[in-house]
Amino acid sequence: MRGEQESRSDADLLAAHASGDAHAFGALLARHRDRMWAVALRTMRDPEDAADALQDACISAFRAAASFRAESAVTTWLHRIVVNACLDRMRRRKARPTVPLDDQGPAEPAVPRDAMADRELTLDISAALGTLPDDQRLAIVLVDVQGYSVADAAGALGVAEGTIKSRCARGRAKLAIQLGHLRNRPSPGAVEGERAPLGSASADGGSAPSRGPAAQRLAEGGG
Amino acid sequence: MTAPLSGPIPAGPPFDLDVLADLHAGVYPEDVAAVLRARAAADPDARAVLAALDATVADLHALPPVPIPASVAARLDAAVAAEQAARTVARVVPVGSAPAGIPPTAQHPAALPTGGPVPPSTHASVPPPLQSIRPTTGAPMPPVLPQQHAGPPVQGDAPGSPIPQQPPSGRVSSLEGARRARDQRRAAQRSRGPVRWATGLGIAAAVAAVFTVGAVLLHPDGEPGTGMAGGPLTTTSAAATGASQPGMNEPAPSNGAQPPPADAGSAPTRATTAPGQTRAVVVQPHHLADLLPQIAGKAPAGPFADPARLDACLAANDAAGQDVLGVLPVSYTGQQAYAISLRTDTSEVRILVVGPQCGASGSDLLEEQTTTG
Repeated sequence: MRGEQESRSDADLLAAHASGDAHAFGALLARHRDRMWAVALRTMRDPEDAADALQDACISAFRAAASFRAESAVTTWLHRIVVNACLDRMRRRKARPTVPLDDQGPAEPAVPRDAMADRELTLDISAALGTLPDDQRLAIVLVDVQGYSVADAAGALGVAEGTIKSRCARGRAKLAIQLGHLRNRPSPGAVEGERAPLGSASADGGSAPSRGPAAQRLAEGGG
Repeated sequence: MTAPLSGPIPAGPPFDLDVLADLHAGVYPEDVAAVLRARAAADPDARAVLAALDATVADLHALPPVPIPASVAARLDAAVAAEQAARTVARVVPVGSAPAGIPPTAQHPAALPTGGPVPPSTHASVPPPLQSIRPTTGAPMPPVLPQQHAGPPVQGDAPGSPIPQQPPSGRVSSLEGARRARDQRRAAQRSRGPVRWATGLGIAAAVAAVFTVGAVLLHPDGEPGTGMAGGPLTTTSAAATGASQPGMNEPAPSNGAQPPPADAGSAPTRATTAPGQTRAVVVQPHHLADLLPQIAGKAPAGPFADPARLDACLAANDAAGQDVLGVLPVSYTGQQAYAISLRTDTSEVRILVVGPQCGASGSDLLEEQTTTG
């Protein structure tokens, strides 16, 4: 049975589940749950919340299998469900102001520490990801971490492709500074929340000229 | 979409970081991007920024996979298994199925044999299956999931009925307020859970005894609830279909209840059981109180076997801290659901009928009723 399931496509498994195959959904889940978990964890940053969101997503997918249409890939469909479950939980989490996002910091606490101990950069990236606004982090996680196309990420998040690009741009710019690839050079007159004038690339010793506020247009929809 | 289709070209060099980030991310229309790229290529600082953005993306790409922890995987497997079990029940006990003797062709999913009001049409909201392989009539068919099946074929399910779509969550306006207390309650519940359950089950046993005695007194002829529309305390047995066999998952009540006749569908609730299957009680809207005897003492099953999940569900329904008297799997207007009876602070009994999604994700409340216990 297991070998038979492994040879079936995602769409076949989903169709089989929708028509009553008791094992098909489990096989589909086993195939994708690591990636689903990665999305949930890196989006939620809290392993318990991530597990809750993923469980919600699995149940939703279990029930909604019949609504799947072949226009999109099953993986995109699954990740959209995961993302929606995460967004739902994040919205509720924001409604709980007394509950910190993560007692242990924004690293990836679900990953065994010993497995990650030698990956300081990984922790740095994870920590930096945790500082991004949710919408930017989601876009970055899907596109840059999970490797989805902009179109697939837009489909998963239910937004326009341009919005995904813009969110990625905002997030990458912040991460580039946090990860040390760019040096943040606050310019005179910079206002909190305003687009930060350009820092220089760290490699060039910070010799970048001061930058003018030329991208106010970005503030309107970049998320 | 923040970029104009083809508009003014941002100033630079020197470039704003966000301009370069947008250029790097492909935000600009190609004609604008081409001009910007040319300008950036001539600017060492802009080149360095673009290289930094490339390095950032490379770092993100290089993040190692995050395998799902075994505990989370096991939790998902359990949740899916519970869903699968619920689907099995839903298939074996189609809503609206008549007791044995009713011609299958008369069993339309919306035509409940009770003759009562047609419940809200959850079927209408169910998306059509991907493939139309389910029977569209009630022709007998073997259960799709026969793991526990040991008897003759049971009634086929209605199209799309086994797994109805989850109703939208967030129906309870106080959900967020209740949820705020969840985290604090979780720790407390874990520590006092056994005591709470002991108390709850003790009350449940007392309630069950009262209802059992009441049922016997009301029906001294041994036909409790039979044919009595709206009977106040309709007790039901596991042999509602007349096809009960030994070895069922749940023992039949020992109150002497007999299988109702074929026309007993006028009772507000019916327990229908397929051979070898977990009993599912079909409950009709606005008759939740009739469930009390059947809920009492039932240990949480399915997703609510997880105390944290049950707590989350209670919190979502503004029932945090109330003693649970029992949790009973039911079928409610075609949906797999769970009836939860609670002892409130005012000594009333509150009955919630919730969908399996009830939990941290939402109340999934289908109906509730408060009555004096």
